[in-house]
Amino acid sequence: MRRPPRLLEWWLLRRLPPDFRGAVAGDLQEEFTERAERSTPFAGLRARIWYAVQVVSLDASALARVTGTTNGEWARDEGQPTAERVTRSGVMDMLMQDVRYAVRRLLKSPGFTLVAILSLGLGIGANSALFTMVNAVFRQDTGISEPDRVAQIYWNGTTPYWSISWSWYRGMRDDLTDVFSHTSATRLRMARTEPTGDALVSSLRVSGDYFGAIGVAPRLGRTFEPGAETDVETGAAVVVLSHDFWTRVLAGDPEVIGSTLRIEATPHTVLGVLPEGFTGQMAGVEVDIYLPDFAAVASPGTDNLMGVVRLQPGVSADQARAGLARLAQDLNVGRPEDRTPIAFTLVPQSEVYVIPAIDPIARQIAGLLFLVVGLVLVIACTNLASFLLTRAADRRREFAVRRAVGASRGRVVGQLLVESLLLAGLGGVVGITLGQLALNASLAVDLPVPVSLRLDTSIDLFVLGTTLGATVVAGILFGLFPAVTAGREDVAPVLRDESTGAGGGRGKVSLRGALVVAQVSLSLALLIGAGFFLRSLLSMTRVDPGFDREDRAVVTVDPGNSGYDLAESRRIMDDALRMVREMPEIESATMGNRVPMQTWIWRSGIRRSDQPFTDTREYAFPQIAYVTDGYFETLGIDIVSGRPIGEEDVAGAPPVVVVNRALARELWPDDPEGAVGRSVLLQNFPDSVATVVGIAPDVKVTTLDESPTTYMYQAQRQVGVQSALLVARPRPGSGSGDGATKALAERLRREIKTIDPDMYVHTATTVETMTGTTLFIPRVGAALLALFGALAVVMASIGLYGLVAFGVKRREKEVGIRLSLGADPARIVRTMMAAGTRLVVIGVAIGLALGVGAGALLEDFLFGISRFDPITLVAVPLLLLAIAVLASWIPARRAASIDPVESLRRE
Amino acid sequence: MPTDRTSDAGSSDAAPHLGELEELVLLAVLRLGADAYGAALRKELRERAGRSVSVSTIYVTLVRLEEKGLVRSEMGAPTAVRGGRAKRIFALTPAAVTALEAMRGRRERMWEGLDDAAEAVRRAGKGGR
Repeated sequence: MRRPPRLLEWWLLRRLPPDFRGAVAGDLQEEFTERAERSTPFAGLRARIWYAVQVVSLDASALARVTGTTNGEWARDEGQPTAERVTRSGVMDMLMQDVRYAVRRLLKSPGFTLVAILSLGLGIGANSALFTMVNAVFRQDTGISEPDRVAQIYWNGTTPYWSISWSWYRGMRDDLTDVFSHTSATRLRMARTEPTGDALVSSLRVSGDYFGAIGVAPRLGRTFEPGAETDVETGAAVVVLSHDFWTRVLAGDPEVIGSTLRIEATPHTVLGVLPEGFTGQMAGVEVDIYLPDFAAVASPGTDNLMGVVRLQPGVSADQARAGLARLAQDLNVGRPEDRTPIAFTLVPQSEVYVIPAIDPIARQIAGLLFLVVGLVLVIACTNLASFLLTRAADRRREFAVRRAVGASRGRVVGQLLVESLLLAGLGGVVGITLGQLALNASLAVDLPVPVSLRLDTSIDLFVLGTTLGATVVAGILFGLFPAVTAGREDVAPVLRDESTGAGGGRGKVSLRGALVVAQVSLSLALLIGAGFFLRSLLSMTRVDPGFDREDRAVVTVDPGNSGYDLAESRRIMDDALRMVREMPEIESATMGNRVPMQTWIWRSGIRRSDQPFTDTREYAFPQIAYVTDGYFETLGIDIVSGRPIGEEDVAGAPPVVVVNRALARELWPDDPEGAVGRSVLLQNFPDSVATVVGIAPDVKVTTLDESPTTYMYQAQRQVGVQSALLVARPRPGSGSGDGATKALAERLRREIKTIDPDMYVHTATTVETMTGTTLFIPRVGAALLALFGALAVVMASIGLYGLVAFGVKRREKEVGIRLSLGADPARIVRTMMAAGTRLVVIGVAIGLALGVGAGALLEDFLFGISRFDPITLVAVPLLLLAIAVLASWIPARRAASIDPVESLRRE
Repeated sequence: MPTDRTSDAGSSDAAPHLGELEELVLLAVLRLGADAYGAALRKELRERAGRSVSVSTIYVTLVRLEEKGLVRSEMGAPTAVRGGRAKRIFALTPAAVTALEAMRGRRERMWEGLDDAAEAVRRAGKGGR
């Protein structure tokens, strides 16, 4: 036996005359049970919907009329005069009555109510999702104690925020104790632990007193002793775990302290677990494990470190900078003249969002997101407002009657307020649900960044409160407006229905008109933004990056981090390359430390050997890649002259380099074509002269819109590389597309692992994914703005539709008379549309101006188009115009089908 | 609501005039006998006459018929399938039978000898194509 939904049943019973309760409710329950027990799919749900429709559509007042009672509120104490009840049961009862009444009103026009709640929900949901996401990155509580005293230190070298070397760090640690109470140096590396296998975890290798500098106490166990990493000889293999790693991988094992965790090939003793929510100095970047950086101590040349320090109490950032300048001066003494001088940048932790190098762009994106969020919120509010105004206009008669029979203005206003709040509340519930869904979906997006991001994506209560509050305020404002005017209005003409002309309703209509203008203009601005991104995306995909990105599989082979020495690593990497080349579906394969258009920048010095050295500026600092034979062939880069890096370029053979055209031009401006065969000095081969063996074309290195960037290729086998990408190109016909290529990469990974199952072979991916970062922003921008733009257009269309429909209804009588006098129906439709069309044109004009303004904000993200891109600025408004005209034509058309006799008979 | 309010002037019968829905409801009550209550009546009207009638409409009609003295009602026993609620069971009064027969008589008199004419109209309609 099934029961109908209790709340609906309760409501049904309250509305029914007492004589009919059993009979009617019983009948409905009987049919409900019969429907719910059918074997059709979703019978239970369908029965519930059926029941709800029956209850909502039940005309209790008709039953009341025929049974001779006039009071529709059967549930009340019968025969009790209303005024007496109010004084007796007080405000609470009145409020309940208002709520009941509001629910009934909203259910009476279910379509409109649904649209209002949905649009509010979408607005609130989108808002809280975006807000939460941006919040997660920018305002994350990093768990750092006294963050005012924490700072990050970089080398202000060839680019700002360059990494520092271990020996400089040592200088800070030993010589700047007057400004720094704790100093440390860190670097982020991927690592393999036994429980996670080839799903690499991120590890922060720390030197010095990292945990003292960052200021965090462990939740379990302890952290490293300051300087523990310096005892390289006897240094014990120890590890500190993040809370997330401990709970996710080790299931929160309470016995974890002192247990052994295999990392790389070595068993490590677990010293401690950090508290939940601690993210360290890089907000949003997930660090799983912390290890002492023995390697940096062992090779003081290590220069990829990030300094993290804690200032002495009372020391200002500027005092610390002065101390660093002193240190830099000392370090520069005796530094070879051909090296860039040392200078430090100190960034207080409070000014860091993600990491200083990408903060400017991240801030721009966040600003853009907030702007979009704000627009969506405004649109949601205008939508609620126009919804309430429409209803209010429809209900002027009802308010007049209430006033006439003695309701106070406060009572009418209260009733409207309750309705607005109810709508806002329901919208909020829908909003939370949609927002959480959106957040969960956003986590599934594969970000083209080399580290895993951890964002707290539970909806922020503050965020939710703010957005909900904004809509409630909007609801109250616009809910009150008609209520107040309704209270002021002269009752008699409304009751006589004399105000259907241009009289009292005018003010409200023009306010609604203003709302439609606002909606049209804002949605146009959003759509223009979407258009800009879309056009940028299109022109990006048309740019030839100079190498083939499609259908190239990539895996990372990392014997160096698997316990092999350099000679063994070289042998293993050669074996891996040979194995892959022998696979039947592979056309060509190569190795290299990078492919073009990955996000990172890596430069090294090169200069002509035939010129005397006078200044560091004599060095060119092109970007550099270490590659093996087959690199150019596999990536589809045609050598311009000379030869590519070949099999013969191994350790011990004379060092060689391939330069790109831009670099050849920079080094030999008079004769760039004659670069092949010339001698150069390479910064990373200080003791020997290298030969340029070939000239490569200019490929895109970091972004698609860059002008030719200097680039050089050295032989991987001639440098001490122990880890590299293996790139393979499948034979034509053996499957293409990103999915097939990724599957191929996974096959390569498994194949290479047969050399040594314990060796790192990870990150099976495609060149297309690795180089997708430049397309990421326009892609997300286009998707986001198109989504919200479309949402806004739907809302604006609904507003417009309502406005025109209302106008038609108001002028029904007039249209009836005109039609009966022989007016042309088509002309009447045009007249009816005119008001709407005028608003749309105003809205489009404003929206166009906003869109051009938005272009200025988006300028940095635009690619290949100007912010006055004519196609976007013409096509998008035309599209919106077409939609808007359609939205006003549909209700206007109804005017032509008005039956003159019917409309006049209603007199 | 399909209540027919045209006057009975010109009718030779003394029996009250019935609206179409009223007539259908009365026939359904007669057909269902002891099982004539709201839900069953709605089902009968839906299945036999193809008329979908809402809960409030059926009861409004029945109450009106009761006021006219054409049906009477009594409460039946509560059943589990109705959540322990009783049925309100309706039955025809003799006046209802008189009224139904009068309606039927009127209709049949009007139909007398019209079958051929109707057939002719139908054929002409097809031929015209």
